[in-house]
Amino acid sequence: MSRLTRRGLLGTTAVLGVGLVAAPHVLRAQTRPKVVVIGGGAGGATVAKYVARDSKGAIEVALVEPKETYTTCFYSNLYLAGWRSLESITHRYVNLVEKYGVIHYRDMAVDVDTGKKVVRLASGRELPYDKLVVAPGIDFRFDTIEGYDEAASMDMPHAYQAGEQTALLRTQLEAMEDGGTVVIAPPPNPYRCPPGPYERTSLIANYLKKTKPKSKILVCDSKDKFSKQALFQDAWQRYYDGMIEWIPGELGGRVVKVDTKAMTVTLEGGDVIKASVANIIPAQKAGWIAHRAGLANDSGWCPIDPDSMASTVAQDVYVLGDASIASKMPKSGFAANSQAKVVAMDIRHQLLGDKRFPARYRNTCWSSVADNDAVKVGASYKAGETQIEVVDKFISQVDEPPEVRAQTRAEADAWYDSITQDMFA
Amino acid sequence: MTRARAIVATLAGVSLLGLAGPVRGEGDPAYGEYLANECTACHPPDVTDGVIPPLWMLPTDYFIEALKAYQTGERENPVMQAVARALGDEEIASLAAYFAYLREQKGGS
Repeated sequence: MSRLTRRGLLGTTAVLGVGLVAAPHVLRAQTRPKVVVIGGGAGGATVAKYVARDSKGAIEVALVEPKETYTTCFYSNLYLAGWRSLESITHRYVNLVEKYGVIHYRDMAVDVDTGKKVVRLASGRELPYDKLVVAPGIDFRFDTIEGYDEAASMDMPHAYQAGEQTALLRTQLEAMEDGGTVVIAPPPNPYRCPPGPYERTSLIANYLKKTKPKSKILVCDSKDKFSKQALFQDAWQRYYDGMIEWIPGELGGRVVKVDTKAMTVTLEGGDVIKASVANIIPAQKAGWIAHRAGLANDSGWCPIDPDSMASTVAQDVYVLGDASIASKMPKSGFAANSQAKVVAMDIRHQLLGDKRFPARYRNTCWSSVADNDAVKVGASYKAGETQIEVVDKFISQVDEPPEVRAQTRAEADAWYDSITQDMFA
Repeated sequence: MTRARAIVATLAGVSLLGLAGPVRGEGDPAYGEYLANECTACHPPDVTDGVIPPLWMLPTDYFIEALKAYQTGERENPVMQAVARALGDEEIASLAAYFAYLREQKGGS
């Protein structure tokens, strides 16, 4: 449908919005309200696209993201398995710029003045805003494991911010000899993609079983239970029996120290493990700029209004995706995409007077466990008084027939194509 | 997957043959557009070789009946069951109105 028609459908009644659509471009550029989005991941890309597309140029949207491309953390485990190329999970911002008029600043946000409503970039440029969206994803708490810092992650990759780290982990797995030991250390809660480390365990096992079947995987966990646990453990037994050992926190599984030269991992229980490959995923917190802007609380994450994802700390600022405290919603690409649509609606309502509807959120996480087998978990959410609340939820069952699992596996691929189009196309 | 593709192709054909019903009167397409943002996380904008259909291609009556069948559990996909259970009649009618509108815009019935 035509863009003008689309805007009409949205029920814009504000004089500002209607007037600006018809106004000459130059006039618009001088007067239209400004939205700055920090971070071009699942949440940031979606909100930039939706605000720009649905306001049809009535709002200026600036996306601050240093990288030229975005490699999705979701589906990066399929790359580790050798199922997908890195290119197939890497996306460009060109459509956001050329189709919707988003201004992409390939620059780093280094400061935010929420009083003066200005974002300062590493280049020195200052971007004033009417509304700011902070979607920086995660940073790591490098002080939680002795010997593990950013430099150590070049030897023992976390591979939990996709791209070079993921490629490094894959290279190490390829170079490993048959009979080696892979250590996977999942982080403590809360963290990005709760089933992620366990899907990764499944898919690394999938790769090793085909190429290096004498190898072992030790999952050294700080937790005593994990997302989709029964489903993963059932799959590990059925497909990779004897290859995977999970050591929970209560049995001393937490990694307390690493030595990257000796390639050893020390567990809380006292065991020192010699690793061929070590995938250490540290504890996490909201991305750096959220802390710099003063948006995070003592938990390390950013409190939000459940009806809009607006920061409860600073006015005219939204925090979405992994960096936010979305209570029952997990930190996932799907959740960030869903939250971004609520933010985009609220921004258009606030700046243009467009219709506003009650916030609705959704999440679904597919996890692949073997070639033709995937499981899923998901929920619908609404805004409660103080937090986002679950309306309805579901999870795959352990005893599902193979054809259901194969269908879920195919569904996951279809979902990946759709959601990345929704974000970047 | 092949079977699903065939179903999508058939439905698309039906839609283009003009069998889709008129837009239900009580549905608000603007509300439907907002609600549809939830759908686009999984449903593609156009035909793909995936297993998830583009929703604007489904005839209106079929679309409404499918959501109701997910609500009762008659249709089995747990993702869609959870989605449908979170929708009331007003939401379903609004979604149907929006997708019918979208189909018109795309040159369908």
